[in-house]
Amino acid sequence: MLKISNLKTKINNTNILNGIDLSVKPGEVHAIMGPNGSGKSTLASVLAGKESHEIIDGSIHFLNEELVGLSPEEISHLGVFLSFQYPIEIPGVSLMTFMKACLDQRHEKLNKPAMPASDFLKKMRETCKSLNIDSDWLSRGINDGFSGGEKKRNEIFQMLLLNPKLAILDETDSGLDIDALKIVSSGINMLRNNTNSFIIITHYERILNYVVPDYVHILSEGKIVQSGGPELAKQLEKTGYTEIVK
Amino acid sequence: MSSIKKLDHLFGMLPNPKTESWKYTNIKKFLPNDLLTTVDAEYKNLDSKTINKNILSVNSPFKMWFKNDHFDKQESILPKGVSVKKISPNNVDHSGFYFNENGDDYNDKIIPSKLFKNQEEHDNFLKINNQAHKNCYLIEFERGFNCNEFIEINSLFNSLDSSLNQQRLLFLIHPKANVKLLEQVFDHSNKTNLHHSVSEFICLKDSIVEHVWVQQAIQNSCTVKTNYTIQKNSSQTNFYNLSLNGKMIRNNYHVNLLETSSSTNIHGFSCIKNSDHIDNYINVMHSAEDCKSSQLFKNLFTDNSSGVFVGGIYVDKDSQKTEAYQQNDNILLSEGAQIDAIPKLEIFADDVMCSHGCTIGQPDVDAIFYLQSRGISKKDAQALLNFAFLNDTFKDISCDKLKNIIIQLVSKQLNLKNNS
Repeated sequence: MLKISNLKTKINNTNILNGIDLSVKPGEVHAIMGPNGSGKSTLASVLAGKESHEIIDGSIHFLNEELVGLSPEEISHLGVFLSFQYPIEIPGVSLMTFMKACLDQRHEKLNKPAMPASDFLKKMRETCKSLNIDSDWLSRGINDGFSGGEKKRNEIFQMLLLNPKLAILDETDSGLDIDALKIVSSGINMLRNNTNSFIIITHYERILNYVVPDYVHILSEGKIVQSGGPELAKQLEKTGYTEIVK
Repeated sequence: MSSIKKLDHLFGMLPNPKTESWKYTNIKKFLPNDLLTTVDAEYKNLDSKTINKNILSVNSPFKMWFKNDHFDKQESILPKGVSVKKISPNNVDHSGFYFNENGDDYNDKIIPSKLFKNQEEHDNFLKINNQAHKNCYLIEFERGFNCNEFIEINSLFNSLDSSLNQQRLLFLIHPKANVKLLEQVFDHSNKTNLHHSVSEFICLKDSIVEHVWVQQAIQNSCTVKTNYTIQKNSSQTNFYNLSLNGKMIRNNYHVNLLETSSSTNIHGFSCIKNSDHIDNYINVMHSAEDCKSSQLFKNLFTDNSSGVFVGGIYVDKDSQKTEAYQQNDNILLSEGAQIDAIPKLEIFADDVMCSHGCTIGQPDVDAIFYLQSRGISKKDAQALLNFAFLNDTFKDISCDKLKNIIIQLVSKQLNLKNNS
């Protein structure tokens, strides 16, 4: 599904990613862990097409399409979703309007008929219910006045509505209390099946107790320095990064 | 059919950049040299049906039509409790109107604009209006008037030559009246005209006024809209100013909170392009204690458009417990766009809450990326963010129908699809 080969990027003449190689197959969950500043969020942004990152070498193939050079919306239309570490607040545009615009543009791009308003509303309400979200959210501005945990739940809400083939979750677990973590994890597990894949970027093992990964990778100084199974996350929790990233 | 009088002497009275309150707006730059004439065409030739495609309407049953500065009684439909009568310009110029001591009544002595210190000395347009306007209409709302419907006030002008189109309306809002007004001006000629409209609001005790001014149908002309408002005990005003089109737009709001517990909200936005220019000049005077005011103006500038915001708050020494807020936010969408912003706060009381803020910025690239990552094109993401930016200024309009019409209008202006 996703094949990243020797990916190197820089921002303002500073190299951030220094040769990432990663393959994700349909149905797999990959966790990427690493110390602060190791390039985790950069990797997430580059996969989603952020233009401020300059790709100096390598390739990103997703479902046989080269993502390098595509705009963020083109990447999104292919089925990639990025859950932001710091979701943006946009007062003045309701979540309902926003999601309608997202789905309409997606359907238009894929030459599919627009979703009837009644189906859209039904889907919105059902998704709210599954994440224990008050339907009042739908008329509020995007993330406007939301707590950190609410913003993360809103990201998962959007993910479920857009139903991506690959979801990249950038520290979705940070700022969540235990109850919210369980709700968010259940949302991820709701989408998880044999055809969808996830890349979960996290600092801590705890979300991986609810969403068990197939692989854990450790990123340091822009490179994957170690890969393993879920046990690698447990080892990290005990030893910290310094033992592994020497 | 039309009698046209040359008004060259008035052209010389127009403010210039040496006039302090017009420092950043050189109005003569936007006007042809052969202005000014006044319009006195046969107003019945003006057919309101021809403007229907441009009019912003909530389909209210109540309408006031002014055509070339004449009130069209036959076409207007007024709710019970509202009267319109022509009053002599001489009364306004020299005698005017005033309140009696208990504030619940008035008789003809002082006009609101005279309550603003030396206003006429500084406001050349007011001088021009005082000297050259022909008709003044007193629009009176009786005590306890209460109508849920907006009254749509439409003013039409046409002329054969570039002209000075003037209007003077005096709104007298009696105690406990609740008034909603949607006001627009339309220009039938294809000339560059100068529209100057002065509205004066006398808001008596416990009255509420919501006034929405929409500037969207005049593209080639200059518009100067001036509101003078005085407010008595516990009265409330909410002014919304939506400026979408116009070569040069100047909005003047002068509000004097004369008595305790009165409040005013003055909100506005503009999204202009080409070489258009907007100048918002706001002046709120807190003359009594325990009053509140809020100014919120947001502007989007494209191409080589430019703007000015001057926001004044004056708090008198006895006006304790004042709450006065002012915010002006601007986004420059192109390199040629420009804004000059000047907050002016003069506070002489010590127990007050006052704030002012001004931001000038460019599009938020992180927010655009966020929207793009959900599948929205960059162009639409920018349009959506522009809409979100302006939305604050009109979200409190009390009529959902009007708000939805404005949303559609703004969306169209911003090339925003599927916004409902």
